[in-house]
Amino acid sequence: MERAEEDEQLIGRLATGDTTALDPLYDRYAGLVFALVLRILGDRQGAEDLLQEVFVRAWQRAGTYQQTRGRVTTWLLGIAHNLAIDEVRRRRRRPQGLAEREADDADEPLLSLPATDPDVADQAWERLRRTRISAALGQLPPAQRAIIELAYFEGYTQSEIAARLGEPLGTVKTRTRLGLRKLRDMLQDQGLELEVD
Amino acid sequence: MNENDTTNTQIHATVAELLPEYALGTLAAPDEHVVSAHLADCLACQRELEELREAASFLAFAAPPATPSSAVKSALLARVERLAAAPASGTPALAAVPRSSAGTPARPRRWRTWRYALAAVAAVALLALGGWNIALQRQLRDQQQQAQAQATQAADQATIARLVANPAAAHTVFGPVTGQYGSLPPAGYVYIDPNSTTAVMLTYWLPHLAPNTRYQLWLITPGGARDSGGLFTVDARGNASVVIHAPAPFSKYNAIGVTAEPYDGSPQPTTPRVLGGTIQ
Repeated sequence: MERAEEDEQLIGRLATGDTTALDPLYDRYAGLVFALVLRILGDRQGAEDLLQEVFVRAWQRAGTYQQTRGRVTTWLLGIAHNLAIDEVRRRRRRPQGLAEREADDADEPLLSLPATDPDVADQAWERLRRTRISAALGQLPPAQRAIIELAYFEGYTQSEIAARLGEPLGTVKTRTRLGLRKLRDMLQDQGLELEVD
Repeated sequence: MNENDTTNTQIHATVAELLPEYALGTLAAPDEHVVSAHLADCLACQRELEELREAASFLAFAAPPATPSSAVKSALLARVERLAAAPASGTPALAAVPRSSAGTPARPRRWRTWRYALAAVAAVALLALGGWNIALQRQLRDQQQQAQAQATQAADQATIARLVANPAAAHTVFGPVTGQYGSLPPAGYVYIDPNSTTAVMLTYWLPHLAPNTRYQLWLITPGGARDSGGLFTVDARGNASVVIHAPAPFSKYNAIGVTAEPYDGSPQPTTPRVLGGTIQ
């Protein structure tokens, strides 16, 4: 069975209240989701909290997943991205206190090992795909890439990006459009599939 | 064209321009509402958005790889079980849920770098031992002598665990530019210990095999001699995980190659190489 079909069956099971489907769904996507939210938030503690939240939301919203509106990967990453961007914006409005930050850095006992991925081959596949996607990103003009990354990973609005870069808003908007469309075309040309093995 | 049509066309053009920002989740509130409203009944924009969202999602793969602690999964499953068992929530609800800090088991904290490194090494070893079990068991079903097979499996697992825990053992191999995905050449990783006769190869995007053929792996000496390293098939994507048993320690070889051969293999390669590279 294709991965996409398996994913959809898992979401279907969740939608009917079968919570056992969460276990395999988590195994398949936790690494990718965690990498994304960690990249956005920048701290493991916050990222692990958010990771849990993403899968709770996925369970709660499984009934609203529409196959016609994209793959499970896109859907799940969308939930993760929205939550992480909301959180990073909230933090930006209300910066974390110094004391709290120091507490995070305190030497804590090693409570648990990182979870193990069920398949070595999947990890290597993942690594190779990362290399190719990074290569595709590398082909974008630097100005377009910088704006897309500021938007996607940092959660800045177009106006904020324009202010940070000292560029006219219109230029930022144009580069965003061109960059994301170009990225889409390159990935489609390469036949890369947005699936997690 | 009446006035309504003109307005709709203008809205469509405006929204189409805003879709990349919408897909990135960075559109400010007033514009976001306009886009959401238009999307509800514009199929073309829905399709475009879907593609752009997919492209944006690919950015997640550009984030540095990271592994959450195992405590997250157990806390998640416990929390969902609790929520599912709660009265009046027999089916998943859209209601807001408390932040995970409430009532979850002790949460892992940020680790010192060396501790993380240590844990990562341990995790790789566990992962290797555990993860390959399924794949190996699948292979073993085909074998008649279970006892002997299990011994082989145990030995393979130990070797695999040791190999994949050592990044220095990995060699990247590529094929000529004709994979099953057009511009993507077949590729792979080979994990090798020069003193051992066992290695692991993970391959991707190999071309589909013709009926009654299998891929044969060739171990190549500096003198150009080729020893067979075994036969394998690929899945629908052209991917395979192969445990290689070489007739001699890998220090004897400096390159590998993969060719498509008759099902039972050939004494020497008979078709052009689809994958290859140096392994020293």
